[in-house]
Amino acid sequence: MKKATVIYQSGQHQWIAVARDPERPNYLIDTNEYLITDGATALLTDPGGSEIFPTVFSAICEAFDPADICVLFASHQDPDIISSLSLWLDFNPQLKCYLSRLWTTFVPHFGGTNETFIGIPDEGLAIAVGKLKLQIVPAHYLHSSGNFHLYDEAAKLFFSGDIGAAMLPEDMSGLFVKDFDRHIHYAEGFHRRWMGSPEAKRLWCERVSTMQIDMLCPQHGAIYQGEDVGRFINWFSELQVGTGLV
Amino acid sequence: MNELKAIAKINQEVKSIVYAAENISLTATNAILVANQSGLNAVGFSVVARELRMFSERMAIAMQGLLELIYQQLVATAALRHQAHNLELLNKTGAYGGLAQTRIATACARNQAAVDELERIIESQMHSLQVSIKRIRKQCATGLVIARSAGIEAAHGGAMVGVLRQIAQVVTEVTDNILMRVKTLQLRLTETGL
Repeated sequence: MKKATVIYQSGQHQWIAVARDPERPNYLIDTNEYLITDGATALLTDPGGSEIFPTVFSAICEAFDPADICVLFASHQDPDIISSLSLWLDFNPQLKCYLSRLWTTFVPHFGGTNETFIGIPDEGLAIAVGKLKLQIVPAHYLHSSGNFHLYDEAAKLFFSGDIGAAMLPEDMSGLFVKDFDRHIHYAEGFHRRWMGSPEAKRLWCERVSTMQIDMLCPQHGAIYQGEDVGRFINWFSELQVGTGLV
Repeated sequence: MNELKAIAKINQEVKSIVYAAENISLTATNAILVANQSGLNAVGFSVVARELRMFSERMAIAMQGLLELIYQQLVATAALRHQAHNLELLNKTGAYGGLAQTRIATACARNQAAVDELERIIESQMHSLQVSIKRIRKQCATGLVIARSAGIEAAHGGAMVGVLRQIAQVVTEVTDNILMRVKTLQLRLTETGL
């Protein structure tokens, strides 16, 4: 079962990682969900696929009342990101979901109505969760054509969706990256194949390089912290992607 | 066989009946034309042929209604499967016990109510399907009587007796075939519980 781990706390402001499920069936890709809270209100990033809803919900319950989650954030439209939407709406029909304007008519195939979605414009958006100010950062074509990340300037944490993802073996089940050189080996294939545009990658690297980031939190695999954040951005900026070759 | 497969199979059978009913309509129109050529000798046959064409038109309308009912059944069944899967996942969430069980309880109850409501809708639609198919079966039996009357009237067709008999035989065979298919459909609906 997944575990909820507080990875950042400052007063009522928390980041809770719901990550790394060793008991998950091996036919389902492992995912990380992050709950960003400000007291009794919260945003949940990429809430995950419908099949893992029980374990995500249950893990969140141990750390936070899910009835206080008021907003979902979907980095893009994939099933491992947001196919649990109908279950979340079963739980709380008032939930709102931020996602790229490109996907507001696609994702309702998973659930939700016109009232559920808040389409994010291509340039991104500043949003408030309680008193927190979060920045929705464009990451189009990395990998989806309508793709966003989330930056919490106060916490210096960055939710990076599929960027930074690594398909790690069972013996690397830690929440944080321990050995960057070994870790990055498991990220390379994924990034080469999934990230479709060198230009988009260059712009993203330039943009995030200007941000103060203590932790880079991907949707799959371990979290980069401290110097590993910069190492990752440098590695990614030099990686050849989007060649159209398999 | 699951419900969706059963509905798809029933839908195919209804379409085959619609096709057969269209054939009767064409044959009946042809019969009217032949009867007109036969003049006064085939007045009776002409009347019966018109009745047959009306029968095929009524069948087409009834089958359209049946297809609509089957479509509604498909929509409700698909929604039920989706809702039931969600309920299974919500119950699984509750099975973790503790806070998860308490906090998901309302969603489970709401989902269970939705599942119950869909099951009620499906049952009501099933009843409408059964009533509709019984009515169609009666229509078919009447159609078969008309088709056999065409055979009797064909005997008065003068020089066109042979052609009229042949037409009457075709119509009887097709109508009989439709009746058999409708009986099979009724049986399948009962067997599958739809």
